Amino acid sequence: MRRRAPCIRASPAVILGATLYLIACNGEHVPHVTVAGGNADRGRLAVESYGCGACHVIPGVPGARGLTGPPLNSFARHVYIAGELPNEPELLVRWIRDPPSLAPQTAMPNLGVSEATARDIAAYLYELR
Amino acid sequence: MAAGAGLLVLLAGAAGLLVMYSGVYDISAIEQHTAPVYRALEIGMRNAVRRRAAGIETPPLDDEALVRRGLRCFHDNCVQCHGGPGIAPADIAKGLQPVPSSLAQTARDWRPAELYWVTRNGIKMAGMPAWAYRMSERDLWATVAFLERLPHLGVREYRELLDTVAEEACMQPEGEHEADPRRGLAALRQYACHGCHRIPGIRGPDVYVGPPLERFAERAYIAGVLPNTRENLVRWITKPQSVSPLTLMPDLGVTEAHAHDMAAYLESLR
Ligand code: HEC
Ligand code: HEC
Ligand code: HEC
Repeated sequence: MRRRAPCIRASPAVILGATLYLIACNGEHVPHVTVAGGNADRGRLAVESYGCGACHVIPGVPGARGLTGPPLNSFARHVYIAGELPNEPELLVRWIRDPPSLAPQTAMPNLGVSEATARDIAAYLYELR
Repeated sequence: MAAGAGLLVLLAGAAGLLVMYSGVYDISAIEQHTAPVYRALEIGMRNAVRRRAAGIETPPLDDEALVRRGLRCFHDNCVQCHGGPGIAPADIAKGLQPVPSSLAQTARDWRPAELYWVTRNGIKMAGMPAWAYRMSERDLWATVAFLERLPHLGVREYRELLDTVAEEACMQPEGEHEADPRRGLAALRQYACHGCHRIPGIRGPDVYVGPPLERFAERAYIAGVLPNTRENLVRWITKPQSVSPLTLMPDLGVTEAHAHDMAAYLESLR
């Protein structure tokens, strides 16, 4: 009698398992965006204290479930800001500071965020991938 | 015995998936499919069309006005890919694989109901678009009526017939109907909305060019400027640039009826 090699006997489970695993874990690589002078940890706290969550869904921020503005899950992957501006750090900082100056009709108000805080917030939003 | 066969099929399937996953299969449109893959795809396509067209009743197609109408649709919508008598396909079509072949051959070989079915529904993974959302039912059949004539036309006859045909563009589907979310889901795909948006219920690319549309029913605003009502949503979908002149969402030529269907679907997303 010929003996079967163990690797052949194991192969059905191995191939199936490997296939399912590989298919489940196959996301795009999202490059990391840095914001000059921004600190993501401080940013998260600022997002909380400015109440951005009243209008946005924001992962990692307690109670941030608002649906007045678009959800910010995976914001780092968004191509545009507010459908009109390329999603780049300097434009995002300006957006957070004064949205109506960039899109006059927008329903997002100027919340009086300082330059330094806007940089922190931007750094946090780019962590959302 | 049966279990063994089942296991074999399962293994073959898994192995096939692994080959796809590993990236070894060459998807370049310059390289041909291997012969077995090519044959399998062609036979599968042909049989799928036969089966689905089997129950379709063909209206009379020999009316001369219908044939001329069909020529307009063919010349405007099909020639760019399939070519015509004495006319080469456009550059965008020459590099397609599978190649959009000359419809003079297809019209000889296929039944009218089969031509109708493919024109209406398109072919997945082949670059053959569905025309149901861009042509009325009458114009779909008119196109088939013309295809029946096509193999009988030389270059001169084609040109002469074309000279007698009105310029009036091929019609979009007319449609007064109650907004229907299921039709809306199909319409969203047929206008390529999922090329820029992630939309629940649609399997599509992982894109964030426009905002993901999940839970859209609960959103307060459309595009950050319009209150989220049915009327505003239809306006946004049909004429986004009339709302925000600099928006990156283009006007996709959505008919009013299709926009109502889409809105009904988006309003069901909670
Ligand atoms: C964007 C390019 C494109 C346009 C435009 C286009 N087709 Fe096609 N068509 C294709 C491709 C690609 C195939 C697939 C060929 C295959 O699978 O062998 C195809 C297949 C077909 C077939 C099946 C025939 C066969 O031999 O494979 C029919 C019938 C057909 N098209 C009709 C039409 C009609 C009618 C129009 C115009 C209303 C049209 N097509 C417009 C690309 C196009
Ligand atoms: C070329 C990319 C593109 C295509 C294709 C596209 N959109 Fe958009 N869409 C956008 C962008 C960008 C925005 C953000 C616009 C803004 O805020 O000014 C948007 C916004 C929207 C919104 C508002 C979303 C929100 O969060 O407020 C809806 C609804 C919408 N699109 C529906 C559609 C439908 C329906 C289609 C298909 C007919 C479609 N889109 C096709 C890019 C696209
Ligand atoms: C009163 C509600 C409201 C508050 C509060 C608010 N936003 Fe917004 N936000 C909006 C609306 C509405 C939009 C959509 C704007 C548009 O498209 O014109 C928006 C858009 C955005 C965008 C662009 C999202 C995208 O995908 O295009 C970002 C980023 C953003 N807000 C961040 C913030 C931050 C950070 C805060 C807190 C400092 C905040 N928002 C507070 C309503 C609000």
